[in-house]
Amino acid sequence: MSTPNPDADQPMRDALQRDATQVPKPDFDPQLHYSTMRRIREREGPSVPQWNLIPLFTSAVVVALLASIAFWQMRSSPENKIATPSQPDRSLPTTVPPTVSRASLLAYQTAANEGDAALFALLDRDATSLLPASDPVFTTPLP
Amino acid sequence: MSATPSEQHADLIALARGGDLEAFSRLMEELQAQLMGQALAFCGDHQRAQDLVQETMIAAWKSLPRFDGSCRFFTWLYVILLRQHRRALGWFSRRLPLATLEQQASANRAEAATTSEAPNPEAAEAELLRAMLAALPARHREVVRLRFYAEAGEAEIATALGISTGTVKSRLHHALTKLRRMKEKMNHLRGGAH
Repeated sequence: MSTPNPDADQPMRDALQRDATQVPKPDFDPQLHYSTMRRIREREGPSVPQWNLIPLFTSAVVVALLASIAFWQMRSSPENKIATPSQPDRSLPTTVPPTVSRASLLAYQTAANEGDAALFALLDRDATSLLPASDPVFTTPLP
Repeated sequence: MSATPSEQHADLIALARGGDLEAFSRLMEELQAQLMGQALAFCGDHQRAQDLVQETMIAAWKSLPRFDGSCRFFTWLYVILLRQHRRALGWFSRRLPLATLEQQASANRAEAATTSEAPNPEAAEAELLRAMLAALPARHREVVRLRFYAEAGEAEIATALGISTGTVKSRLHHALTKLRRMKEKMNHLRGGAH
């Protein structure tokens, strides 16, 4: 690697300094000045400054996102599912599938022999296959 | 080139930084001729130089709140001018090979010889120097221009460009070495051509 020699660059420094003195010095150009200032004023005028647009846009995006999340949650909540008319009410007795087979006559006889509690339990079980679980007959006490 | 009396403009700069467009306009009235002279030296074409000055003024107004007074206002403005010029050149800002530079210089000399009675060797040398400057990498060219054409000190250049003083010294040294070698090669090419 060669050792830097500052003197070697001196002629080039002199040439650059000489050239810098020869840079033209034109007169003030009013037309250029006023057209430039007009362009700057146009940019400054009615438009919203650029630094305001960024937070404005961010806020709009955040609000839209929150609104869509809230709407989605409302739509997917179970209460709304029941209230939606387009969806069938699965609690209606006509749609409840008879998953539990009803007791036979022998089962009723056996339950009656065991006592009232067993008989009522069997009746309740069979009734649930015909009526919804939310039917008042299951919640209101017997007279 | 005389130094810009930026200290005299301190009040105008302060007002302009606060958003006073009239103060900025008065400031630019003072500095436009200097900017235009430098732009003409870069472009060599009046129309392109005017466009460059206009874009520089607009960019300066937009960036003015970021000017912290750590360097002269003209130096700061000159950096914007340099960068606008580089951006305007785009793909054409790539360096040209020396042979192309010599061809251009020869063509210019031939053109000058047909239009004027006596060729001006000083003008030809100045043209060659500017062509060599244009052939430097942008990071070297801007340091040379700031040092010699904007008369900025090394520390001031460092502040204006956001680099260390050591980097400025290093870039300046490399730039001058490259220019010297280019000059030697150009002389060699000229010698071979004659």
